Formats: sequence, structure tokens, C-alpha cells
Amino acid sequence: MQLRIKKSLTYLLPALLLVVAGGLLLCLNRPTLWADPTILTVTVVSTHPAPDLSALTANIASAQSLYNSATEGTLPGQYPAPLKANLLSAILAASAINNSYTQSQVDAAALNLQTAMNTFSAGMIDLTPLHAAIVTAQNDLSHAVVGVAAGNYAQASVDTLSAAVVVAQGIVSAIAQSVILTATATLKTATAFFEGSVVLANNQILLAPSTSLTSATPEAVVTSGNTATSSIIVPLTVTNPTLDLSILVTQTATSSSATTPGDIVAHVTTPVGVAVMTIPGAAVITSSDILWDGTFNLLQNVSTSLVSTPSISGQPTSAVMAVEIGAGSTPLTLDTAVRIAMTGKAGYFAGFSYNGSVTPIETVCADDTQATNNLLPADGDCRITVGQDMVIWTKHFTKFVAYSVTTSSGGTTGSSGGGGGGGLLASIPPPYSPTAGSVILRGLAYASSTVTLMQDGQITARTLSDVTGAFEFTLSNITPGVYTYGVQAADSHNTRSTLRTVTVIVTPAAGTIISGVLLPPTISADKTQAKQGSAINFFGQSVPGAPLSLLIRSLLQHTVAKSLSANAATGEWQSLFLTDSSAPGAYTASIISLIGTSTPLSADLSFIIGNADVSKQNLPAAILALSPDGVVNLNDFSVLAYWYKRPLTAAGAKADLNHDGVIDLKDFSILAYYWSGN
Amino acid sequence: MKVSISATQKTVWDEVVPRFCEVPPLFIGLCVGILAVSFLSFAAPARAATLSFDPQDHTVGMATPFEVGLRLDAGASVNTVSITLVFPPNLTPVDVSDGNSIINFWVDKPTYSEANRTLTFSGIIPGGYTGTGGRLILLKLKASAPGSATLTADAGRSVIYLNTPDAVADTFIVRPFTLSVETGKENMPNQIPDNAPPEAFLPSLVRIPDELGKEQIAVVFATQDKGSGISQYEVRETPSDAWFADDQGWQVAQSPYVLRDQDLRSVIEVRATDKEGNARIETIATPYPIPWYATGTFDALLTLAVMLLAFAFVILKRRKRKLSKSIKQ
Repeated sequence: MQLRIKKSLTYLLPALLLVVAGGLLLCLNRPTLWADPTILTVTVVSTHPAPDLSALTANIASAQSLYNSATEGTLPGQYPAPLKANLLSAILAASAINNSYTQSQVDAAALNLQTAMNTFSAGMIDLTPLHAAIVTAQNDLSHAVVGVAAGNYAQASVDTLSAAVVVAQGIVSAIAQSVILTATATLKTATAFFEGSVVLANNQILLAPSTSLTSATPEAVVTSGNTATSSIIVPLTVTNPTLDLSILVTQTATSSSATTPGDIVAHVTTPVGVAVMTIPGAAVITSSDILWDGTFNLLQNVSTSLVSTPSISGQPTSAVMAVEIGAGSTPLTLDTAVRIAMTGKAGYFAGFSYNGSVTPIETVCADDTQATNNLLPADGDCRITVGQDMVIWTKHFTKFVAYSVTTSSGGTTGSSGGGGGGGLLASIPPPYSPTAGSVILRGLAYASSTVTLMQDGQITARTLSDVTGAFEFTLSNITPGVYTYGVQAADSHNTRSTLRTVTVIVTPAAGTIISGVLLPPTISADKTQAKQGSAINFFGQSVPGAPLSLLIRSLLQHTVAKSLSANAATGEWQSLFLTDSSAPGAYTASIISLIGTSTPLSADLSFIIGNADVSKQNLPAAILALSPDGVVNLNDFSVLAYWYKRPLTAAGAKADLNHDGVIDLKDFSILAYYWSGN
Repeated sequence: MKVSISATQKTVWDEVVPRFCEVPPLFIGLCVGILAVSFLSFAAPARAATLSFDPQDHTVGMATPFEVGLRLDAGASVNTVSITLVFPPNLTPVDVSDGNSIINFWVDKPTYSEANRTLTFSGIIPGGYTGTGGRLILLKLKASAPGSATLTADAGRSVIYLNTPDAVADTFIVRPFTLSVETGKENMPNQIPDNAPPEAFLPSLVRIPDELGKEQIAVVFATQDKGSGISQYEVRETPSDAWFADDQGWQVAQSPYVLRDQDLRSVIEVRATDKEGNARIETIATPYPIPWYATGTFDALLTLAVMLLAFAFVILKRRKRKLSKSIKQ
């Protein structure tokens, strides 16, 4: 062991000595490092470049000029006392910065001084906004007629606004600009309140952030208070939606104009699809007719048969959607662009029409933004495809049309249907067809409902409709041939609609678009039997805002009809049927939607007026016995097929849907009626 | 159908009727009348359904077959058809295609009776069909003698049901069609090739009680072929422990097909083949696979393992014996 330690020391000691010697040499060569560490700090600072003071210097000069030209005081154009002192302090602080500061410190000082100048300028007493508000209020007052007729105002409203104007006019100076701004806001609020107090006509409704027009109130009145974005829902039942800016109209010797106080977005459902128009805030709508009263049609549906579309390469064309915006023969122009989206019309030709003949819109928009399209020339238009929609940007109001080429035989080009279920459908390929072998199917169901698509009787896809009830399916890689598509929707109570079907031929050459699938309303009841004298509550869902007719038929085929409307937002409907005047017996209830060219009929709902109340069941007992889960599909078909032409025993009794003791085609027909797919 | 409101049928409503229906009796009548007309226009058949023939040519020869389609025009929605066609002595169907038929599910596949010279079929269209020119079947016919030949349907043995909850028969018209059969006339062959298999489908299992009420498990299936039409379906059941599926195991089947393996230990395949031989196979995975310890594979492996162990045991025994012998020596 001792020997080993000795051996180690023999190597370790010389190495240790070498390290100590090296360290001493290093210290001797760097005396300052040991002597005074502050010297090192000074050396580092002295190596930085001088900062660029030019921006700061310029700001100081501007601030100095501003300061020198400003007059302290409370009158318009003057600056309240503290502002000058504050600016002077900022100037002095900036002037203290020199080459000894870092660049970032110099930049921060320049920014601080700029901020101080902005604050100073904004603090100048300025009565301009208040005077503008006074002019607006006085304009309102000058046109106001006291009375109770539509468009009139109550005397109290006039007096209140007049008083507010007097108060505002009394302000000629202020200790701070914020006082002026507060007075301006107060007057604007009073003006908006006054405008909102106008006596509305029976068909008018005040525009709110979210407004649903109805067939009873198809006209929305805009006031200067509508500064936030206003959304207008126009259901299918409103055929004459109108926007009324008459309160905001100002007239000159040569024109009449109105300025939108905020963005206005209108969602309009027409029989041929949904159109959405966005009018930006501060858009000036002008008419050369000084008698224009500030009202105009808001995407009013125009019958496509009334629109004469131009031929393309010698081939005739026909309109698939036409909407009118404007004031009839009175031309209306805008200083900023308005966006009109025809949903689901991607790829169609676009045009506009003043007098019946359509002028094609050839220009393709550079993009789909407000800023870019504001650069359109006066009265200019352009079109652009956005997803499945055709979007038109325009600076004038008139009729806008989507159209496509038709064949000489009168049908539209490309694939066409071999027949339509319910006679409601058309297969219209646009000029730029969807992918060959693809099928696009669009229609209207209920607001936010689950819609199921069946292809040849078997479920292919499901989707969710939007708030207007619109839905769309896109199928691709379809083998060419004849297909029967069935569409069914479930309402908010999970009651399924009847199945709407269409049979089409899918060709290999072009895609197929099926549009206008209108699902019938659903109907349910809280009872299947009502004691005579009690009430049955019928309810269901339809396309939002649809006019409906509830039909009650007795076995003797006496029919009672009742008109009602579905809720404009949700499409839900309900009606209480009192049975005290009805004879005991079996009845059937159904509901028809009276929109579009077809009148889709709901399923028949049987009920009895008897001597006791019996709560509801959604499907007939025979169907539920066969299919307890209520899903009627191939499995149930197979049960019938098994018993078809066999002696019927008790085991197969559930397949006998009409209880006639035999499984025959009548049972298959009943099954086909209640079919819901897999 | 008469639509009116009688005094005894007057109904009390909870809501206010539309204004134009409110007061004058005349207006009430007008109101209800408008609604009734709109109701009737939908509920009643817009027009009777029509069965007609869509021939390839009005004049045909006898050397080769030619095609004639049977079409349905339906003014009101119909969901079930059962048709009996009648053939003249000089026309005989040699094939019937359901390709591109509007019928989605067949109750009776087209069947020809030489004795009666009739062809019958029936099927359903879930949700109903409304329109014109919907093809029901495509007939391939052969003419055997010159002269005129009239194709028609036997209205007395045919029925079409409206798409209603209570199986109401629709009225329909048959438009017979007369062909001229000429010697030497050449029939144009069908040039459209069918290379596509039948449409994808989803077979499923159902329990169906037999005549005695005992439940039996069956596989159900249906699909369409958009070209030549479905020729046949076949089902194959392959035990889940089988190493290979048997090509000879396909059984011609009709839906519903009662499974041989009622324990559902097999992979179930359904093959749909069109008339051009294009086939599509859909598979139902084994619902209750044979457990690993009960499969033939496991048995074979177990046997092999036992044999190996026995072999190893023998080898070791021999070595041990040899070692003992060498130590003794």
C-alpha cells in the first residue's frame, strides 16, 4: 500500500506544481484584472456606437412649434391649461436625451413625445362633432310631423329632442374636450331615441341587432341608432322585404341620399335558394331622384320566368335565381360596394337587369374583401365564386340574376332527372359543372335539424341544416345510372318528416345538382285519443316562417282547415284543437306547407275522439310491433319478405301490418310509406 | 272526395283565423275553399299512373334479341308496384334486367311463365316515386315469327299502390305497344359495356321467427346494379378458425337467407353479381368468433407441442441412459 501511495505522489505532485505555476503566470500577465474591476466596465460602454437622434430631434421641433402656436383657453381651437404644461414637460424630458443614451432609450423618448403631442392635439376644444349632431337632430325635427299616423311623432318626443338640441347649442366652450364629446353622445342618443319613437305603419318594424321580418311586418325601419351590425332574417313567406332609411334621408337640389349607420346583413330565403346581402356601415345610398323617400326592396325574389337572359355562344339560357334590390325604376347607387351572395349558385353565370333584359357581369372580382371591392368604379359590378356560392359585389341596386345555358328542347343542359318525387325538383347543372359523377342535393328542412339522405332506400349521409333550414349534400364517385334519392329530417321533438324522393339519372359526362327539395312539416300530438270536450295539442316543425294549413278530417271526409304560421326563427308550430264540438269517432290530422310551387303534406296523424284521453305514440302500433325501435328498414322488409306467400302463423302476425290475415303487397306498401332507412 | 264544413262539424279553434276568413260567411267559404283546393290538389292523384313501353325500335328482326323498357309515369307518389306483362305468341323474353330500375327492393323478382306467357314482378320504392319515364325493368325479347306483336300488361293482375299509410291502390292506364316483326331486319346490339360491379351495400343479421315461432338468424341484403342489373346473390359462411375460405362454399341465396351457422361463429360474406359477371362482396365479421383455445389451429399447435415435448423427453432419456452406461464402463 505504501508503495502505491508513493507511486501516485510521484505523478501528482509535479502536476500540481505545474498548475500553480501556470496560474501565477496568468495573474502576472493581467494585472488590471486583479487591480480594479471597474475599469472593465468603462471599457465596455465606450465600445457602443452613438445613437441616432434624428427622429427625436424632429419630434422636439414639431412639439415646440405646436406648443408655440397653441393658445390656452376654453374656447373652440384653444387648449385647456394643463395641456400646454404637460406638453412642455414632455419637450423638456425629450431634450435631455443625448449621445450618452442607448438607441432604445432614444426611440422610447421620441415615442413618448409623439404621444404627448397627440394627447395635446386631441385636447383642443373642438365643437365640430357636436355641431354635426345638432344638424342631424335639427334635420329630424324639421321633417317631423306631430301626429298619430305612420311616420309621425308624438309631441313629447319632439319636445324632448328640441330641449336636447337647445342644451347642445348652449355649449360654446369647455374646460376639456371630453365635455364636448359627452354632450355629443348625449345628443346622438336623444336623436336615436326620437327616431325610434316614430309611429310605425302596420307593416313596419324597427331595425334591431337581430330582426326577423314577417309577412305582416316586411319592412325594417333604420334609425341613426343602428350603429352596430344589424342582422335581418327574411323567411320564405316574406315576398316583399323592404328597408326603410327615410329617417336618414337628406336631400340636395339634385339628389336624395341616405347613409347607413352600421353594417346591415340580410339573410333572405327565396323559393329558389338563400341570398345574403351585406351593406357596409357609412355607405351612402344616392338617388338622382330627389323624391326618393329612402326605402328600397331588400332582395325581393323575382320570378325567373320574367327575366330575359342573354344567349351564350348561340345557346339559349334561363335564370335560376333572380333577386331585386332597389327602388324599382328609381336608380340607386352607392359610394361603397355591397356584397350579394347567392348561396349554392357557384359556377352560374351572373348578370343584372334594369328593364327585363340581363346584362352579363363579366368582371371577376380580385378577391372577396370590402376594401378591394370598394375600388370598383361607379355603378360597377364584379362576380366571384366563394365555396358553393356566387358572390356579386356591386355599387348599384337593381335586379341580379344567376342563369345557365339551356338546351333547345327546353330542358337544361347536362344530366336531367328521370322524374322528380313530389314533382318538386329540377336537376340543373351550372355552366361550370360539378365533378362528373357527383351529386349535389340542396333543400329546406327545419332550423338546425338533422337531415338524412337515402340513396336507393339506404342511408347514405346525414347533415345538419342551418338556422334557415337550408341543407346540402355532396356525393362523389357515383356510378352513372338511375338513382332514387330520399330526404328526411327529424324535428326538434325527434319526429321524422315523411320521406321526399327524387329519381334522377346520373350521367358520366356531368355532375348533377338537385335543388329545391322542400321537406313537409312534421306533425305530432299529445294524445292519440281525446275525451270529447278535451283538447288535443298538435305541434311540429316546418321551414321557418312558413304559412301552414292544419287539416282535420273525419271518417266521413269532412275536413276542417285552419291557417297558422310557423315560428319565423325556429319553424315550430302548434295549435290546440278543442273537441267539444266534434262528434266521437276516428279522425286524421295533417299539415300542409303553403310555400313554393308545391304543397308538401305531412304524414297523416290518426286520433280518436272518444270517452278517455290516451297519450301519444309517434308511429302506428302495427309499425312499432314490427319495429319496436321505430326504424323501418331492410330488416323489416326482410321479415315481410320471409312471410310473404307463406301461411301466416302467430309468429308472423307482426308482419301483417294491416291485420288482414295475409302478408301481401299492401303490407309492403305500408312499410314503404313508413320507411326510415338503416 | 268532398271537402266542406257542416254545421255539426264546426270546430272551435284556439287561435284567431286569418282576417279575410274572419267575419262574412262568404269569406269563410272562400277561405276554406282555397285551402281545400290546395289540399285536394296534393292529396288526390294529379293523374292516373301510366305503364308504357319504351322499345329500342318499332320494327324488329328475328335473328337476335332486342330490348324494350317498361316505364312508369306517376302523377301522384306511388310506392309499390306489382305488374303482370302479357306476351304475344311470337315474342318471348330471354332476359330481364333490373339495372337502373326505380324499384329499390324486389318482393318478387321478374319471373316468366311460358305456360301463361306472362312475366310477373313486384317491388317497392321507399318514400314513393313521382315523375315520368321511370324504368321498372328492361326486357330482352326474341321474336319468333313475322307480323305484328303487341306487348301489354294485364291490368286485372297488376296493382300500383299510392305512397300512403294505408295502402291505397292507384288507378293506372296501360298503353299497349305493337311491334312489327320483319324477316331480315337486323336488331342493333346494346353497345353500352357494363364494367362496374353492383353498388356497395350493407348486409345485416335479423332474427325471424319460423312458422313454429322459433327464432332463426338470417342475413338480409339488397343492392342495385346501374348497368346490366343484378344476376344473383350468393352467401358463404366460413368458420372463423378456417385457414382458407372455400371457393366452393358459395350458396345461391335470396334475402332473407337463413344461416346454417346459427351460433354465428362464421364469417358471413354476401356476393352480388351482375349480368356481366361483375361482382361485389360485402362481409359481416364473425359476431362470435371461436375462442382461441377451441380453434383447430390451437389443437394442432397443442398436439405439436406435446409431440415435441415427448420427443425431447425421449432424447433426454436416451442421453441419460448413454451417460449412465459410459460411467459404469
